[in-house]
Amino acid sequence: MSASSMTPARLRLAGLVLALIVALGLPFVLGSAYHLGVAHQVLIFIILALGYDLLLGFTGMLSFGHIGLFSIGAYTSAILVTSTGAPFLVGLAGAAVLTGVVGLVIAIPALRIKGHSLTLLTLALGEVIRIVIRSMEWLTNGSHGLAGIPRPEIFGYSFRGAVPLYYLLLAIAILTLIFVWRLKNSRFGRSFNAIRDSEIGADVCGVNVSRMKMLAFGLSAVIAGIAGSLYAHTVRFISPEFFSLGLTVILVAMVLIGGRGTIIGPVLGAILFISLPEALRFVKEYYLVAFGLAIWASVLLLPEGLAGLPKRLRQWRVSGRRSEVAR
Amino acid sequence: MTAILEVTGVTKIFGGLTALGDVSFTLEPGQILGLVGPNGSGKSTMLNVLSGVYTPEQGRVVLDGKDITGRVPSQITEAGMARTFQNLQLFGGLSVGQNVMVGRTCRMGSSLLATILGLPAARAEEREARQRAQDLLDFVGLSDRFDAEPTSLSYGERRLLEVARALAAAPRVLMLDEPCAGLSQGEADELAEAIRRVAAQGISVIVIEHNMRFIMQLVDHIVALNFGQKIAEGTPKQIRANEDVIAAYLGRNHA
Repeated sequence: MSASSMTPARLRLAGLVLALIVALGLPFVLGSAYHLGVAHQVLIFIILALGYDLLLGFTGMLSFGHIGLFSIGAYTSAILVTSTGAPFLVGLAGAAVLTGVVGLVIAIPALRIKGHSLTLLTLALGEVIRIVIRSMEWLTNGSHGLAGIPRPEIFGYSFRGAVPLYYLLLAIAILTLIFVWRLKNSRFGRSFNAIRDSEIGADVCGVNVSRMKMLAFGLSAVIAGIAGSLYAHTVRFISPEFFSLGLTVILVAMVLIGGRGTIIGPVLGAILFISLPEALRFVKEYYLVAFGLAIWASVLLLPEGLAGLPKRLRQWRVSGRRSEVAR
Repeated sequence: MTAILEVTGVTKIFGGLTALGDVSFTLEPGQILGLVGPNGSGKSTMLNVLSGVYTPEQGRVVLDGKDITGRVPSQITEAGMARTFQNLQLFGGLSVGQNVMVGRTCRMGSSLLATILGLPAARAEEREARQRAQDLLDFVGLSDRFDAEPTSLSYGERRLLEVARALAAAPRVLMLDEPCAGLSQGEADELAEAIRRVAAQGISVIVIEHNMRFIMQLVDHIVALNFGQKIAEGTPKQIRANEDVIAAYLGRNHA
């Protein structure tokens, strides 16, 4: 069967199966611990970006405070596990709950202010979180960071090895993906999209705008908390400097260039933005130039991100044919 | 027949300007009511008050015996009043069918957990919402456009889509804000036909429209506004003969 005779749904399914096979087989291809470490980071950022897309892509709210939530998740889990000896799952749950609560608190002003003001507010909140973490030395060890965070252990099974850890992260990334996908195809996902496209329209359609915005903030915060916990227990060392504004910008770029409001977009964005700097390491600091050019090109040519590429290609082909006919 | 909607003494003031002054009228089940008047007469303000976009300074809006004055739009939609917009408010990022399904939101009750876990009740509700959306698209003549993007529709089709979306909330009262704006005569006739079929199901309709020919052939009853005051009320025939209405539209000298 040729590719062109396949329906889009079948093509998508085939792509999904292929991606799953690649993801499952990757540890056997990636020999070195270093490459597996990059793969760990990619999976954690897939989780983080999928959650962030609930805000940015689904509901149309640009928050610059998301890395702050990510850091709260990382510190909560790390402190719970290292200082109280709590099991990993308790650290993970604690991170999810605390970031969820903080996310809801951030959402309260978000119900009243919109657009640029909201973005600036979240930017400030994100920085406040970072500064608070740095100054609470008795708890967080300040700018020295927290070291010696153990790898995850669930019911006695240790994920200390790089390969088991990879599969744990992959499983959670897939669960997050299913979660977002189910959400997208439900009244909740449609309500988020409706608020993004026309808030007044959503309101008169019976969408409880305040409630849905709180839900979007809360859910994306919980996912950020989970990602933060996984990050802390994967990298085993966290410090305030990692959770910088630069990382916020990378997260925003991941979702924008991958394709906001989609599910494949944040996944592609995370793969691209985490693995590409590593792959381009041989050009040293000039990789930033390549990065900049890539962002510039994608904004100009692919406003819907990489996820919109197939549609763009179809459009270009159609318009190409039209101009041929016109000749 | 008892009234489905009672509007009593509604007053709305914008910074000292009385956009609506003590306006009252009632609406019966299945009735098509036209709200007419020159630009700035308060028609759109009235629709915004009725749909909860504005809160009136005075007066009451009672839907089926329940006071809904001062409620927010989503609550009013849930209570049974749905509307469309003069400047369309479609959701461009959703498909045509999904736009209609958003209109169904307030009639859906599955919890987040049931939705994420894909429990049978949640799935059944989603299927039903989808089916209802398809039925409504059939009803307005957009049967085969479920998966299309709203931007691929013509202007007239987009207006029909907004009507379908408003109907998805299963309203008792449907409010249409200048539904004919930008439509061809043929499209306007199709729309009038759809509105009649809505009313035949017992749903009351309030229409704001500049197109007098459209209003006169469609509605049962007319409320005429000028400078925020109700100047006349009656059948299309009575309104056509009313000197105050003629004066409001053409100026006092012509009356």
